[in-house]
Amino acid sequence: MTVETPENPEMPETSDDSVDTAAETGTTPTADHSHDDHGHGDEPSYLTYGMEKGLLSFIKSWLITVDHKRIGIMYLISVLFFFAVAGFTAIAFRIELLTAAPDFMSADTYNKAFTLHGGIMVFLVIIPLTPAALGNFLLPLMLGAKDVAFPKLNLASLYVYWLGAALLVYAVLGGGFDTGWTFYTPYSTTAQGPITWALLGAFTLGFSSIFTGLNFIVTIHKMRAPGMGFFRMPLMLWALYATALTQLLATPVLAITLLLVAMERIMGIGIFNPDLGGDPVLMQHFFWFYSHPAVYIMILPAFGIISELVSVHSRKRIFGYGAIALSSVSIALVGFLVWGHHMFVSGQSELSGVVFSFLTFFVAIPTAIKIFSWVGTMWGGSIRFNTPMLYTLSFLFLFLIGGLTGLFLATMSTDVHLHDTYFVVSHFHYVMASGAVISFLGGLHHWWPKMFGTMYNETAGRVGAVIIFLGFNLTFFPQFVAGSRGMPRRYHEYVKEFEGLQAMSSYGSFILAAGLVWVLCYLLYALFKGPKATDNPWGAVTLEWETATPPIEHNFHHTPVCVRGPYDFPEIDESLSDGKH
Amino acid sequence: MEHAHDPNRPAWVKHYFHSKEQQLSAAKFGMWLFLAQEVLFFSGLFCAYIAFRWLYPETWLSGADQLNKWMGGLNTLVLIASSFTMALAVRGAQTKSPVALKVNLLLTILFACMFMVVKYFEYSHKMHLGIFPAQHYAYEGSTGLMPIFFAIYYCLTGLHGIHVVIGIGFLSWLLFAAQKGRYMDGNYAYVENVGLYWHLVDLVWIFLFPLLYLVK
Amino acid sequence: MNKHVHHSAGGSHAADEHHEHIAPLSMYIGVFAALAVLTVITVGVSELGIPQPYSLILAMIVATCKATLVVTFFMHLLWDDRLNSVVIFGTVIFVGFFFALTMTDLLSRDLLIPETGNTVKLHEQHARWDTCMKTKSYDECRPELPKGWVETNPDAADPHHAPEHPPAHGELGTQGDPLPGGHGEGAKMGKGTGGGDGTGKGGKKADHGKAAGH
Repeated sequence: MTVETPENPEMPETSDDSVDTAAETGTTPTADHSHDDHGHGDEPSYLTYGMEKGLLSFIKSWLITVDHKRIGIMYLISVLFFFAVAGFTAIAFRIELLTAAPDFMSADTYNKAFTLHGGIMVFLVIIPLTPAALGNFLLPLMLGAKDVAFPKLNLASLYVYWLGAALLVYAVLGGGFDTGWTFYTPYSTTAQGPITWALLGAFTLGFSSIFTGLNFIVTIHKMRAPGMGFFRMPLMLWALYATALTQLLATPVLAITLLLVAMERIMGIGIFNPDLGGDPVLMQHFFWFYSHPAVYIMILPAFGIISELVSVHSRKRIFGYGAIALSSVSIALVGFLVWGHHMFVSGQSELSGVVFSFLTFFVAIPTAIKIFSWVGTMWGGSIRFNTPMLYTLSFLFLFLIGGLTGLFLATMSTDVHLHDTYFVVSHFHYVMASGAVISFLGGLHHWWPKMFGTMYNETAGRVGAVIIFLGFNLTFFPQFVAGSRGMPRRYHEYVKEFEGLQAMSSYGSFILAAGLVWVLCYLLYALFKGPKATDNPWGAVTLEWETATPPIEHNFHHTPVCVRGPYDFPEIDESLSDGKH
Repeated sequence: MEHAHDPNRPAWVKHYFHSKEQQLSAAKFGMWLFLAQEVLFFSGLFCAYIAFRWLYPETWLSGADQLNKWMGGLNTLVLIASSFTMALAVRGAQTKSPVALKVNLLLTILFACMFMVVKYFEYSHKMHLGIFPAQHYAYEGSTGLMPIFFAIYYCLTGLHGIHVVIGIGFLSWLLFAAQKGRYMDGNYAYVENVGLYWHLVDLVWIFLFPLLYLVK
Repeated sequence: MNKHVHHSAGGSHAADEHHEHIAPLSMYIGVFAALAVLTVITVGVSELGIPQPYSLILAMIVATCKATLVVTFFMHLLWDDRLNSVVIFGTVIFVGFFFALTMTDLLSRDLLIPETGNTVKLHEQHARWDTCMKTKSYDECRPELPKGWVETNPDAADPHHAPEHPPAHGELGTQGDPLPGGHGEGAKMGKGTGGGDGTGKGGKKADHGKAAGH
């Protein structure tokens, strides 16, 4: 297994598949020579067209655009903004948790803080993160299409996101809400405060998610480039497809649940009110019917990113393409059947607990298949330890821990002890924060040159990846230990014996925050002052790398034709007679 | 630009679609996906219905007595008629017949309004008796956990009613556009899609009616 | 009049198949008539007094037939891209999973410890007791109480129906073994926070944190 230093390969201007030398080659051109786009120097990129008409008109053209790439960038900015807000909220309560006694937060403030952190992270950050911020940009490019199927719906989804965010912010400014992001009844139906506004905000955000999912499904089914069957799509698209299915089917149930809770607050509807004969556990069924598939919405696109990164940066065809593709869809589907594992101690029946526990074990299998395939991809490949690869390796290690600890929570007998402890908190941060966020960072670095046309400083990137990895582990590993020893979650004041572990966790969170801020800094620098990037710095062969860097408004001048699989790197095909590895 | 003058590519085909077939097929598929999500939206309420009907059978029998199955049956026929005229309106657009399109759209709107009028009478009669949802329930005429029954009743019929009103809005907009001569050039995707939405509204009622009114 | 119009797509891709099928007017009228007849049948049958659950099953079968007619003909699914059918049938299957797994819970709440009863289910019986108590005396209404549910005699002390404190050990109708406190509290109706089974996760209050060392 050779380890090569990264180079920025030059694109060959010829159109034949010449056997390459030791130097990296770029992609083999498609039949349409789309990479001659940089000869069309007169057409501006998607970032800058319209600038000549004046600043105000330029801003307006962004705000009413139907260009998926611009919509993706606006999502990116919005999502990262809320990530920062929720992140700083977390830092605030991690400072509070440094000591066992209360410090500067009252119990009420603490409850509002973790609710805010959870609510913003789930609804405003992680669910839209990869699908809306990266997916909107990449999907049509990878498919070889000029835009998504319904560009105006795409813009509507962004507006609805902003509306939902505004409603949530309004609820926060109106005093905050402390129900936990899970809005369990009967507390959420009876407590004072602007909870109804928060419910309305989350309800609205659900529609943003539904519109994005609908758009992606139609685009993938109807707008693939000629020659691209389903099994020639990059795995990122399989992942986005599975995500979109889940978004479309699960989110409406959240909508009706939040609506019913809101109506109970406003009109006393009472379906969840035991005084009238209702059942509060029914609310949990409805809520988790969405919220469990929601976590797959969060992680499936991450899996897609990792498939892309691991293959390109090991310079090797992905191992088990079919297995990964089908396992994405099966995770999406089986993920609908397991929601009761959040409710083992809620009062649901023991029989149903057993059924859900059994089904939950099944959903681990497709994920394991993926991890095996990714490692199999790296085996025998020529790995470059650049920034995206470092994030990929972090992901593999950390997500595996997260996934394995999920098994303890899926087993009813152990879950009874671990439910509502820090063990659960740590589990979901390992899968969500290391899963979704770290893979997103890897994807951002991988596609950065294509999206912005500049290159970031590689050393800075590697440093950032390492700091984040270390900070993350220091933050969350002690929480596993604390949780298994019995420390409950959502407590702002706790027993002295856990102080050491909590302090370690808090210091880790400061390091993690520093790492994230570092990443933001050098990326902003790269955005404005970074060196120009070439069209295909990594030498990948998927269609998005065939466009100009950054792409023009309509993506492609001529419809690209797909003539090869997404991971058929030319030199590997040439050097191995059977083409397989 | 690669979009040469092509008889198969009318002016209304967007630049990111190859052909009008692709555009129309994508529009319809998108609408079916939207309907799928509407079905799931209602399914939460249906699940609550199933749960509480199983738990409280006597309440259900008693509650259904408060509902007038003849008015409900009439509403069912009205909605089926509106579905019929909607399908004919789509057919009018397909056959490029403006009269068929406009007349049938108008009839659909009228039937929909009739549905809402009957609904208004049902609701006002109940409220007159003090039958309000859940906590506000104030009628002594039946036994059992009436608040829960009427919570489910008002939620289901109310949500359905809101969808009818939204449908009337879309239908009116369609009629207005049809008056201006649209949908006669082969681009009748909007008509078809509003038609699909309207049929879904009918479908939900087809299930609601026996579940709420015909519990004996 | 019969009119089948087929548009041949100019660069056809498998994904783009769009055959425009215009059905004859007679088909629409036929389907409408069938739907109207089925509606009349379903209302008529409900007058016959068929016992539950058969009347429900029959009503659902008729409703499904009507729905199938609307979906297949009015919504053109019969002549459409197969993908659209997959969408709607797939959705129905997922709705089925949702119902099935939720009802598994609700139906089996008292499976393990039958004496506790399914507390949610017993509310209806308790409502009967409430209604009875409005007009009759405690002793007359006693048989209306669900088995195992304890209510103290209101005539004796306090005007409130429900006891203020959970029932004492052994009072819940089973021999010997005390039931977990949570189930006992479930027997109270209408007072307190109305917490049914295990709703403890519903309200996280700060008070948890206030207890000094636990």
